[in-house]
Amino acid sequence: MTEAHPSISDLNRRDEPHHPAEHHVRDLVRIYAALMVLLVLTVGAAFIHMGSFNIVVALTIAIAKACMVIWVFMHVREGGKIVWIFATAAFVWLGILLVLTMSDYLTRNQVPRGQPYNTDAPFIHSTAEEQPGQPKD
Amino acid sequence: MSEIAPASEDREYFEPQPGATGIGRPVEGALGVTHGHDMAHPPHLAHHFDDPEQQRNAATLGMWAFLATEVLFFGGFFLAYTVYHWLYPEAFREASEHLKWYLGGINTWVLLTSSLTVALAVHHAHEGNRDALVRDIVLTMILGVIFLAIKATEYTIEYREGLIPMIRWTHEGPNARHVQMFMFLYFCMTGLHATHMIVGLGLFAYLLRNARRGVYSTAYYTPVEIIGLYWHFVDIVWIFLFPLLYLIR
Repeated sequence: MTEAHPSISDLNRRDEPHHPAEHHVRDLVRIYAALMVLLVLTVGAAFIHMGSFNIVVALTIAIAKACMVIWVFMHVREGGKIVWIFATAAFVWLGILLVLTMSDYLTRNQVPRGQPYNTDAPFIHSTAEEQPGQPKD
Repeated sequence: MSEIAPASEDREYFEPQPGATGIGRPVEGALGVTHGHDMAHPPHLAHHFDDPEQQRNAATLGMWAFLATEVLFFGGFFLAYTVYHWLYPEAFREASEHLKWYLGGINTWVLLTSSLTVALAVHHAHEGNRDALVRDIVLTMILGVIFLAIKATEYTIEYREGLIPMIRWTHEGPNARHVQMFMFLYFCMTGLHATHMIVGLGLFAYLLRNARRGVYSTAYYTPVEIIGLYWHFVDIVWIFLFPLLYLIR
């Protein structure tokens, strides 16, 4: 691989952290402390009645926790671009699975179910002359 | 890079050169394949990689590809949960109140703590600190066992309360059928998660054995890193399971 033509392997190069080891341990402990705070928040929020907003809060906190674990504990922060793309793709595909399925369930009630085709609907017919079986107005 | 053994007249080409480190010494294999090169390389570097860094990055990337399939593996259950939660919100709320949120909360704490010890294990492996690595692996395994013990306690309580579909079901009420649907999803999701934990404990037992033998060093600790990724992933699954199963009330 040359400088002029960066290969896919270059994209996968990670930026090695240059900071000293103690700094790194402090980062890990800090993230752990933040995760603990969010855990207490999740449990606390569950006992405040906010209706359907409860699950939104719970999932937002869960996503924040997951991002912290992925970004720092799983070293995506220090990994190459391709690791970042793979990690993101996993959740994008999960999102596609959920969004497309729920777009079906959430819109089912907008189409009348179990109704036969309505032959009496006025806009279905063209002119009365073309329908010999129909009584003329 | 291994090559088929050439005709005998070319054999000397593959003899080790004087001064070679010996790592790449030709080996006569059962299939007639010779090692075929005398280039010095670190003992853990496979031939199809340029350098150890590229090898480690490839392993990490491969693990992420696997974890992407795992996301969709659990994703099927999360999808089923989303659909049925949307269809029967009252029944799901009623069912969730039967679960012991404090046991789920303690387990979340246990698992998040184990994620910290795994992150520290990877850090200490990178530093070549063998004693700290062994200690972190042991701590992780203890936390993993505590998690499974609490999970088993919960299953026992649910058995006593008759909340296990098809095995012991005594719950009655207007929403009983849909409460059963929730409990079915609960056992599938936490059961699959617990299975992953058991696999993880096996992987950490393997890491512990190798770490104590001094297999891992600053130059080579890829298994610690990718098994660590697996453990963090299992932790993330639980981060979502906990509010979705225990805290909808």
